[in-house]
Amino acid sequence: MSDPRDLSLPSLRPSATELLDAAREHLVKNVLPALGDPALRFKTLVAAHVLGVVSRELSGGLAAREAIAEARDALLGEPGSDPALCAAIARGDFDAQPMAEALMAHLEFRTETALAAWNPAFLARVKAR
Amino acid sequence: MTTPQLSPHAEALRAELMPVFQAECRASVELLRMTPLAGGASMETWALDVVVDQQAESWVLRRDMGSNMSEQALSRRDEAAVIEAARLHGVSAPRVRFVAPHDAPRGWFVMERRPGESVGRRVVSLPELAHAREGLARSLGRELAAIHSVPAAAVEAHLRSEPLAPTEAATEGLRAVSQRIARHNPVWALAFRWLDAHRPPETGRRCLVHGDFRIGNLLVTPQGLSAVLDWEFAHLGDPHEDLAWITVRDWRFERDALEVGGVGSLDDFIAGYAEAGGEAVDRARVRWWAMLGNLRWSVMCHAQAERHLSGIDRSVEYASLGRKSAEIDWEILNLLRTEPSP
Repeated sequence: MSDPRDLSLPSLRPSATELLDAAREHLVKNVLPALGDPALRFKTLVAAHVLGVVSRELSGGLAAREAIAEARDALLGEPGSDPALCAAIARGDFDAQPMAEALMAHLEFRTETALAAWNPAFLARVKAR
Repeated sequence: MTTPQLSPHAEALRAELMPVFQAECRASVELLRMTPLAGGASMETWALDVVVDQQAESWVLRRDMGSNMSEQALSRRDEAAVIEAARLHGVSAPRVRFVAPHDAPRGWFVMERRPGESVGRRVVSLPELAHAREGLARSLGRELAAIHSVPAAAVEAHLRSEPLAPTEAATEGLRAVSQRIARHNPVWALAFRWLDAHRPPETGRRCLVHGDFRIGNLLVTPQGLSAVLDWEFAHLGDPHEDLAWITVRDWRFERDALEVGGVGSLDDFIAGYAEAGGEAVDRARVRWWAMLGNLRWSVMCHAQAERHLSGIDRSVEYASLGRKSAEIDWEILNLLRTEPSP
């Protein structure tokens, strides 16, 4: 827990992610096996899944957010925002090379960064092709 | 005899349905069992086991729950009419048995229950469906050709009339949703830019489009396709919209290499379509609609997460879709990378 980017309060144990993991484990190990109703099972599985997503988001999230913002601003050539990037794309600022390729590389980086937290199994599957 | 242990809601439903059944069957109708089936938040679905005049029958009830998923969606009454028209023109659609009277508090209809598996993940993986999967892409193509050949005159009274060209209606509708939910996703911005720049010319050609033709909305038995369900997004439009929607990566349920719904190839699907009289397929148009389809699903994931956030439908399932879009955005970028250069 010495990672300075951990979003928990300093030296707090369990950390935020450890607490989420505990809740997730409880749902998977104790609650799910006790559920008979398929609809309730499905929603509980989804709930366990989102706890995993948030846990991964918290452990890498701040670093990822900074890296994405930095890369975006480099692409825009000035401190900007996602709405500003969307507007620039819609205006056609990235239609021609080399900007088109720079934009693609940036969007792939963002999407893969998100997937690492949201669905690492998907990323591994499509990367393995 | 009454069905044992019905919830108060099921009891109220039973009280609403039975007089309609009795009146229209002109016979004694006995409800043996009503079982809730997995449904969305906007619609409830029930399996009904009944005895009509000593004869056992299996039905399915589809009923509104009060919050509509989309303004594009048909009413239950219109959906039932479109299903019946399609069935009468040779489409594998379930026979509609009853439609709610005009003064019913919520729209509903009852159709016959067809056999088969509808859950996408199981359709692509169950061992007992392995044989059915071999010919499925081709038979789905044939089925889609049957849907597209239903005469517009048989259904247009039940469908919204759309003044815009189908490709424009699709992008403008989606743009409106993405602006309403305000997510500022640059992948969406790039996809819209591409769709606008590569929009295929309007042909004026319109046919009955199912609007949600994919694994998950189809019943499959070991013998093959049993029925096409979920017609609420039917409209008159470009046949390529349906041809492409089933290739959206998320409908492959992890069978990534099988681009038609995780069960077969696009070549087989299009061959089946041509075999059954489908008009010539323009691959570039299919690619345009595939881009639109993936973008639509990414936007819809956030629109559904928004239903949770706004309090219309509090649901962890909807909330979780707000973290699904990256998978679809990955596919949008993949399609942009593999698009042949002009």
